[in-house]
Amino acid sequence: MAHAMAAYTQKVVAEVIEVQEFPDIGNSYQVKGVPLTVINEKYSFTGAADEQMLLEHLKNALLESPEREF
Amino acid sequence: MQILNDSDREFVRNRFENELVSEVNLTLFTQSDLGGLVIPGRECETCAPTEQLLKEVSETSDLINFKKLDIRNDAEEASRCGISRIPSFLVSRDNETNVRYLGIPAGTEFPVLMEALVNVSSGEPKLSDESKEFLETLSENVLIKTFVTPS
Repeated sequence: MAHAMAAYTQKVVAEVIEVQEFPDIGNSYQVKGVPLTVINEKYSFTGAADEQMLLEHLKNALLESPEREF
Repeated sequence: MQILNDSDREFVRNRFENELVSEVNLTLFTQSDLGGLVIPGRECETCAPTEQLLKEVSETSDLINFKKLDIRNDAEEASRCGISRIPSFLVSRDNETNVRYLGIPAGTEFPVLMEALVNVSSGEPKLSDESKEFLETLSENVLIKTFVTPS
């Protein structure tokens, strides 16, 4: 779904990371469950999100203070 | 050895025939084949299968352009694309670098690749008006990283 948003606008950079292949990246983001989505390196949530849920998370991420620091 | 079996290939071919609109690029960053030579610290178990899979996908439609770059020889382009690890690939219409994938899109991730190709090719991804309106208001880039496993 993030890729669909990125296909719509270049303002969205969507990166999917296969965490088993890059465990060091997974460790640095403290990935404990997948899918884990991290927005702007500070806001994160675990679990699959449909378009509406991702949209809400994006709004929260851009409005709220950081939930996690990496 | 082929990764996609005949029925997978047929399914993919049919979907792309119906849904790809314009040309779309699959640009893989990997390392050049060293003829079986393994350099310690440069092992890449999934580079070859990722290349094979993307090639097979590109062969299912004339609208998909596959390009292979070397992370070291093409370091400047890798840097422009924000790529520092291999295997990684981009899905783009022109020279955009904002649809990225790190690792092999196998198993449950394969449909994600198909979806990305369709969305980028069309330039009009299936999004709600609400999403589009929100995306139009973005003043700065938003980086969305999604960590997945293939199972």
